[in-house]
Amino acid sequence: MTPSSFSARERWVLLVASAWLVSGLQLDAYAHATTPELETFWTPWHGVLYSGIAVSGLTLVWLMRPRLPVIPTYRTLLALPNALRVPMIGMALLLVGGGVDTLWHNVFGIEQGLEIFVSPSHEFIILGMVLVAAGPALMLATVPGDRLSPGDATLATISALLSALPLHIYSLHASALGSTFFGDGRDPVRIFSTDAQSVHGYLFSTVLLLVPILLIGRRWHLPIGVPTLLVGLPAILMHLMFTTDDGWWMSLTVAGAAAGAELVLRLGAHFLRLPAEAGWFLIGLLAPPLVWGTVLIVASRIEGVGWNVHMVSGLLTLTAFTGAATTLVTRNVRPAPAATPQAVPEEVRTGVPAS
Amino acid sequence: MTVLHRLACLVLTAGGLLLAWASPAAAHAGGLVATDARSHVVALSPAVPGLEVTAIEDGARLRLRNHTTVPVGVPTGGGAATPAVVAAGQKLTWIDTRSTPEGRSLGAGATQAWSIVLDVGGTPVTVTGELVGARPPSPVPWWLAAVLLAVAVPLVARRSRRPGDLLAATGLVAMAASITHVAGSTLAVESAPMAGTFLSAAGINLLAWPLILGGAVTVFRGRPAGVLAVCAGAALTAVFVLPDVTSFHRAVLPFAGPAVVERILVVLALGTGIGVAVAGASVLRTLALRAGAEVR
Repeated sequence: MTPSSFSARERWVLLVASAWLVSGLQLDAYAHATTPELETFWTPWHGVLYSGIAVSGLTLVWLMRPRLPVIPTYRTLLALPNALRVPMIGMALLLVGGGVDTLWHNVFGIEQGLEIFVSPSHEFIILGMVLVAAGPALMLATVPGDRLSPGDATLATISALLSALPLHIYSLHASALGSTFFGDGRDPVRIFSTDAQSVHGYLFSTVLLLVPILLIGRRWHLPIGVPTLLVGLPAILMHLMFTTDDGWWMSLTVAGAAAGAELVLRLGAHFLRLPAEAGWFLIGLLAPPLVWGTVLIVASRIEGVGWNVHMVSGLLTLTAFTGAATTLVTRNVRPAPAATPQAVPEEVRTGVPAS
Repeated sequence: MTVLHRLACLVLTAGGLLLAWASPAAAHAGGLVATDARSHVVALSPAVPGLEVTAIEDGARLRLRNHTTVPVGVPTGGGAATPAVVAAGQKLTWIDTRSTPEGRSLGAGATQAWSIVLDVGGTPVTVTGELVGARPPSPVPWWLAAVLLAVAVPLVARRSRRPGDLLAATGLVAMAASITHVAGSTLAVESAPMAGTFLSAAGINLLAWPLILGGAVTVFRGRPAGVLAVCAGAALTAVFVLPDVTSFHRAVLPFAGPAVVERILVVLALGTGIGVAVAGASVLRTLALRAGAEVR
């Protein structure tokens, strides 16, 4: 095995560890959202979260050990393949974020409400989780070929989902999945208002839902059903955590609309036979208004939509532009080629610095 | 200046700003924090036979023992734990924002009265208490000591003939300081079971300590690869003693022993932890070079 190749067992072990970690966050977020005045540190949710950090850290040590020289140096650590370096940096951010978070609480007190979602130490922790959870998909990306077996597609999808979920939770203040608000009916709509905040929610959620799909699609042929899962599951999980009082209709509508949009776009691509990049651009342009438009149609029948034609049409147009821009950026931004590709592997192999 | 150097400067600057602007501590759920005052109960008026209210853990928490025959109500306004009703024969231990020194800024020797009116079987009973300000230390010597240690360890390691052994031994010092600090913090807590409190206070150190110990044993057995584990464990020790640097700035510390001992332990864990982690870069490179030379 070369330092930059990973066995299926290694990929799945890290996936389980990161699932443990992100489940801890999900459970903790659920507990804080549904149990007022949760004061003690000793909760089952914290138990899952902190043991998840420990399990992920130990898994990364297990993965790094055979890939380091007999006497590892800091440079050989940094020279590990991206699939290990990225989750390793994530783990470092998690641990530093954890330590700084406690200091932050001791000095400034515990964050409440919106503060939770913008506290710097919490940002470290969330970013750390995202990078750790991306590990299995990055490890899989080192395997040659652009077709995914069902097992590998499952792994890549779960890894992408686990990476995106902390961001969905953390952006609750600007998420279309974290509330069922469709305007209070004021005309004209005030610029600084809950309605305005909701517009941001649609845009941010559009980006967050699209990016994992685009990244998987950039590396592999996108397996059927994966986009639906990557949109539907976050919607359902966000509902479970934050909007259980509002009924299931919205999360199920998002999931159903995602399935419908995938079907329509795949059929369209089959018949139109567009160049790949044009096809992806159209997906970015059309999928968001298809999904959010369906949600607004269902909402108008179930709860009523307080926004007028200007708001609704403008909102959907803006999500289309956002989706198209996200697609263009995600598909086209690529790392520069390495200047001296041979210099680092030699050091990794021997453990002896060039100097 | 490399990217790493720039990042280090950024982190140090941000840390400095953070500490310079630090305001008095606010309430922290689930643990004791350093403060600048002590709180105690002065009297119950009227006194009720069988009803006992005391301030524990330097006043961070109140403890009510109800040996009367009627339930005792604690009124709302004291934070998450209130209102509460303590049945006859039961006790309640809680953090009450009306009496806790957390977040209070009193001058040294200054006092501030507080009171809570309990409902004892329909009769109002006033608990009066007092917060007494304590003089905080000058933080400069403590920070200076930590920085000096953090700088000294890499310098000494650079000149050492056996830098691996030196780092392993220094890592063990950081570990010992950290364990003593956690144990002392645990013993200061009266309101929770000791084992659980120790685990809570230890946190990620439960990973750091085995890393240092295992790494040091490996190094002393002649396998320098263990230095990396020592460095990782030392870095974690430094990160997870960070929340307790408030002891450099505050007078009343949640520690079962003299405050000066607690501050020395924090200095040792922080300074040697950072020092070992920083020194690891050059020590590991030196050891790898030596091993490479031996192979050739």
